[in-house]
Amino acid sequence: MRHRYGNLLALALLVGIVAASVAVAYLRAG
Amino acid sequence: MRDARPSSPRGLTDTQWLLRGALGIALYASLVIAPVAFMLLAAPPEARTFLRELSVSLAFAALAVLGLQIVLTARLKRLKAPYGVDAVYHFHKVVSFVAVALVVAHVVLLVVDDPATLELFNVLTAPVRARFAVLATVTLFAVVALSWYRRRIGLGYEAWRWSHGALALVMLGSAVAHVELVGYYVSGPLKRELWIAYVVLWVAAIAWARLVKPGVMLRRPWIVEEVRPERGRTWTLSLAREGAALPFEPGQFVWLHLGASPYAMTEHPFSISSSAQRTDRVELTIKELGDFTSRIRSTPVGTRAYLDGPYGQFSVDRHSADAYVFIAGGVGITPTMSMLRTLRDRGDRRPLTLIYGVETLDEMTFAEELDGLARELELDLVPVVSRPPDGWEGERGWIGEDVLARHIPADSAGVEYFVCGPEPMMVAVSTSLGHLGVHASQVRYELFGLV
Repeated sequence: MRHRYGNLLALALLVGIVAASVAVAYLRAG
Repeated sequence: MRDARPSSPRGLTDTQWLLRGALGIALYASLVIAPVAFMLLAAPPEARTFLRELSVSLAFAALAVLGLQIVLTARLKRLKAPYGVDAVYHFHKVVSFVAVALVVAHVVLLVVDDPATLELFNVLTAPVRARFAVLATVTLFAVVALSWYRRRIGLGYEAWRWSHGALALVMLGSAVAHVELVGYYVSGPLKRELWIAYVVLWVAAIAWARLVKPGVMLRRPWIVEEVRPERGRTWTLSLAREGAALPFEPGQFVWLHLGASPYAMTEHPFSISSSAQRTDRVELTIKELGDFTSRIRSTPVGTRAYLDGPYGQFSVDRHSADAYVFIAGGVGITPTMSMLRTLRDRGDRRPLTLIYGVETLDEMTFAEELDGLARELELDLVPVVSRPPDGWEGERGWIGEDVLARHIPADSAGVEYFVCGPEPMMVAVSTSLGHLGVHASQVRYELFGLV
């Protein structure tokens, strides 16, 4: 169902945000 | 060659819809990630510890997500068209939990990085920037909790709408004030401009939904001509236009403002049940389910109404096919009714099947008209009655896999399925159709109880 896609999209967004944030924090603090 | 066939009156093919959908998601993701990426740009301030940088980065993404929540619900038809409005609202709901998780992580990481940060939670002694942070966090929790527990705590829809809007504004305002007063990442070039652009986007989305759209509606009033009782504690509200007509695709829905100004936040979403061949008169069929819907029956004839819409992609006009199967539960029949009436008025001769789940035959909304439609159209009408009368020879129980197997076409090629009803029914039907070899791309859903 389309709502499952919404859940997956939100999860993918969370993973993307955390990955991008870790990368930025690493580059900044590194 | 299904993709080569235009699937909507606007001439977009399935592939074009998919591309537009993908583009929208990419744009959304870029807007969320942009503040994080901007931390590296244009003379960033001196770096701090890894945990502090990570914490700030997560919070910026959270604020971008929360601000975009306004845009997701701002009635932007073209933006939502590729997904369906109910899917967008569902995403609005789940992504709020992503934002909560990010905000919690922001706070926890700051405290882990420097336990002295805990002192900032004492609002009596904390600096103003920290007070705004506490206010933003508390209102965020309140917005999410009130939405999640609205029905359980008996909060009425209209009171919830008001509190939702007001708390969200306080939350966003406090968060922006917190960012500005901390000032660490908005002092450099580009970064302040980025957040100003975001705030302008939020304000524009609110102005569009709350000022521009109601202004347009005000010039296109409708008048209640008739309030007609239907089977199953359901009422049909028949509206005649006083201003412009409402061209719509059968199966779409509108937000109804009844007896109140379009500027008031009192609108409710309802499917249109009448034929799309008549645009000067629109009928909404509404079941008594909540505080607003229970008052429909006593609406005086002559009451003024305003319609915002049409919205939705749950329509035969969006998905061309050689045959259609409609699966409806209870008052989920209303968009299907609009599609059947429209197909009748157009003299459509394609084979149709309607599998219609009801509690009792007495509560089967539109029973008599559906019998007539079965004769006028190539329609196979299959009522599925959970509490049938003695001697009932038709289908009984719920719309299970066995019922579907007996009535859907043996060869699903070229068939589109439309499913509308309560969520448990839709989940069950979705699973059953999959078992019966129907591809997910052939099935359309409309969930009622949108908000």
